[in-house]
Amino acid sequence: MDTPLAVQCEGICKRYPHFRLQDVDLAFEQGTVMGLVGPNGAGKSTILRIVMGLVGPDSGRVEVLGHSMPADQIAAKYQIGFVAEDMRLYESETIAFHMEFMRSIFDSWDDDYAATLLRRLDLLEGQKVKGLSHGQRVKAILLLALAHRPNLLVFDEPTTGLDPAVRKEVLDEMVNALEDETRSILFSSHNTLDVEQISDYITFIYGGRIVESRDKETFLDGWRRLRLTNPNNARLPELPNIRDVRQSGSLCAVTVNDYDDAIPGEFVEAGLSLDEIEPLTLEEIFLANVQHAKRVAGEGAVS
Amino acid sequence: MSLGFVFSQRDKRPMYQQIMEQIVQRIAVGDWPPDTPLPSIRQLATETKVSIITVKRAYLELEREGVIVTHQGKGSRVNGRIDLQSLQREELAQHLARAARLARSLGMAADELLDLLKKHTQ
Amino acid sequence: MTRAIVPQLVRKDLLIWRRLILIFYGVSFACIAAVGALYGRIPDRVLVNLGFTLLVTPVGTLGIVLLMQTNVFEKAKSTQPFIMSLPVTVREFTLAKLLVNVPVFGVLWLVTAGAALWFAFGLDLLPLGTLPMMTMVFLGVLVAYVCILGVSLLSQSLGITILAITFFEIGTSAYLWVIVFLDPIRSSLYGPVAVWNSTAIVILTTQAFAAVAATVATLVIQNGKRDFV
Repeated sequence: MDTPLAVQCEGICKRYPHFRLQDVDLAFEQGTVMGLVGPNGAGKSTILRIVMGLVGPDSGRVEVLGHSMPADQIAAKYQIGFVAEDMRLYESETIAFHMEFMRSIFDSWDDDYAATLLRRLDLLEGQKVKGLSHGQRVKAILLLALAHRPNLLVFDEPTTGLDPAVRKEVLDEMVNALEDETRSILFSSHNTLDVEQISDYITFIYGGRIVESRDKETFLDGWRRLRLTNPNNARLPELPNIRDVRQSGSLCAVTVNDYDDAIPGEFVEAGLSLDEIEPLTLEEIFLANVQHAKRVAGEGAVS
Repeated sequence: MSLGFVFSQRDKRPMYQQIMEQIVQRIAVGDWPPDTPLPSIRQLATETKVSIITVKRAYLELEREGVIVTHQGKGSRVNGRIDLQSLQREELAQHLARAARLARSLGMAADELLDLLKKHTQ
Repeated sequence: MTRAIVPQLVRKDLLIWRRLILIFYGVSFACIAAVGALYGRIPDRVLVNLGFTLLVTPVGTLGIVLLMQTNVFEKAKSTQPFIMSLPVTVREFTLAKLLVNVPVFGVLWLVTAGAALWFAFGLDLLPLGTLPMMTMVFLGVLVAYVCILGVSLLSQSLGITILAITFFEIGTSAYLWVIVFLDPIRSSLYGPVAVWNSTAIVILTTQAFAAVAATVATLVIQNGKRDFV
């Protein structure tokens, strides 16, 4: 049986006055979690909105759960739950009002699950939206998105601006939803801890382009920081996978991507001595990618 | 079923290694005797709130090391023939093999490596 | 899969704005009653002018405020991503907005127009000759409303909608003034009989057509939109 991919984007391009999304390819199978990482303005929200059919790409193909977007977006949206950080509900109405509204639209609305979520997320359905704190509002939107049991969850910065306790609640419910193995999640965050924790795949975006996209373990495995001593101020080997270099006196820290065991040897041959090889957290990789992209852009501008 | 896995944020090791450690600990202290069935990958992922792919990797590595045995369609269980001592020896052997590989790529002679090792056993 | 989306959207908006709608309807009825109560107590001339203001203001304001809240502020208050993430087509979304605004405004407009006509001719405040003109005025209000509604839906912008309100209000007043000075209309304006001559018919038909055309144009143009957020 050929199950369609959860999301399949090919060659997505979108032009705005001050920003351009170029040649974005994004794909992951159902039952997995894809995390989009990148600085603000890199294009994460745009990609998510294109996946949701809210924005039409200038060129490229988008398929969500086998449905072509935006042409077949209605059928797709019955199976999608969307949460965005800038999404708002109707302030004058209660959570119950919104639940009733969703129930009237989705056959798949599960009252028991909704009640469970209310309890777990510590919300009262009689509360008016305007009286909710930011964290409670995000949780309410999350509840509305989850309770109709969609096959795909699309979350744009779900944990931004949340205190650690609420953040944990949100992440927990996201992971709990995955207990159903047909469910997939596509989410964006610049909170690298979240992405690192729950993603199966990570895509790094910068300046409207995909920088790197692979499964999380390979992604993290491919990066190392080498701590070296450079007593004779020798020239560092010119390796294509160097992403960042910090020198301080005769101490040197080099961040490399696509690491393999032969790389330390190249530095030793160049006259440096190896002190330590460290793995990197996703946040450190994020920063290294940004630094590298800035440097490349700077060199491009100068030459 | 609550597994009670506890992870420390300060632990800088990759998550899959931390999971492996928690499992091995339970085996070592006897909470999970040989042939105990392990939680399914999905169960463990949901409980610990980590990605499936990380748990998969942990299980794969544990199987490679002979700590657990996986049968297609039947899940994983603690190796019935597990011997903790030989397990730890196996782990040590792996560490030494990696150290030797690294030393080789650094152009270090075997003697130098042995001296270094001696220093660390002091 | 339930596909009765439009009724749900209409119901949603009606529920959210129920207090607003009820208040305006209430004020409107109160004003109609006030006009009736003032009859005979103040000079007819004054009553005609005062009555016009009292009757038109509530319904006109309701129309504008409601379309602002449902079309312009839905986008400004960011509730739009919530709605557009649901299985709703552009056509259904637009249709629902029209079905909320037009009937709510339309019913009150009909009631107000009916009351005005009754006061004017039932109570003999104005000669019957003004009937065609009055009909044109009320249809003019409807046409202006539909056009402003369309602009508010298509642009979802506060600035553009306000511009449209100004444009269509001035425009409507302007063309109504022109009509008053057209000979075929003017000549029978103060007569005791309502004269439905060909000029009047043409004007009324054009207005009716304009109202329908504006509605259709709104639906068609809205369908071509591809970016919603």
